[in-house]
Amino acid sequence: MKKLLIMCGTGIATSTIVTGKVKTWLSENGLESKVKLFQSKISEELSRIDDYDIIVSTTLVPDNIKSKVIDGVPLLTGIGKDAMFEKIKTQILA
Amino acid sequence: MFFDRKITFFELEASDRQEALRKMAESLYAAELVSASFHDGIVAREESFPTGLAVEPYGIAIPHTDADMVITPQIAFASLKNPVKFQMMGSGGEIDVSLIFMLALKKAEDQLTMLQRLMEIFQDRALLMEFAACKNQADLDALLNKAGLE
Repeated sequence: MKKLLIMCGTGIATSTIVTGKVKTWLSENGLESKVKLFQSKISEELSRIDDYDIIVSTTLVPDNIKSKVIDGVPLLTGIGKDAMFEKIKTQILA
Repeated sequence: MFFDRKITFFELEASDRQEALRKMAESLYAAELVSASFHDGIVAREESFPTGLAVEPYGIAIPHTDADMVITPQIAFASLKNPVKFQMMGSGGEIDVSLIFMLALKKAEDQLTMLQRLMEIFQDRALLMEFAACKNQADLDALLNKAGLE
């Protein structure tokens, strides 16, 4: 089972929305059993970021982890949403 | 319930985002909905974790901060007379923001339905234009009702 972290600046507002949307998407795509979801704030996660297989963030992340983080903002604006889910799917099935 | 205290501004005049954030946060504080540290929390967080969203036809910002600075959950709304610059959430870069929804939230889990509805509205061009066109509280109340936000 892959560990998927969804994080934002405070861990209460935008990460909640993204977590809700990802949950729905996972069940619609029959992927729930392949993923365990975690929701948090970025300041609590930077030190243990390697514990996760997939990371979605709605906030800016430090340059050194940028390459492994998927931008979650498309789920808030609707713009680029499908491409973003495709990226998550690729990482779940990898 | 998130808009019932009517912390709202129509055609708010602000020369930059700090001024807009200050006016909104002070109003929430005056209504005893947030603690004295809320304003500083909002400004500091906006600088390190910006909340501008590049939606059409207006840029939107959803400033918020830690839940322990919130006494009673509420959302403050402002339409700006002239747009102010915000940094964008996630990707960085600047956008002109015309509508601000300042989120004073305690526990997001309880508010998921409302937050998701708010994001759907951000993706609805026609509704956003109606938010920008509101001139008074009666207009806004009618629109919130129509949009399924209360």
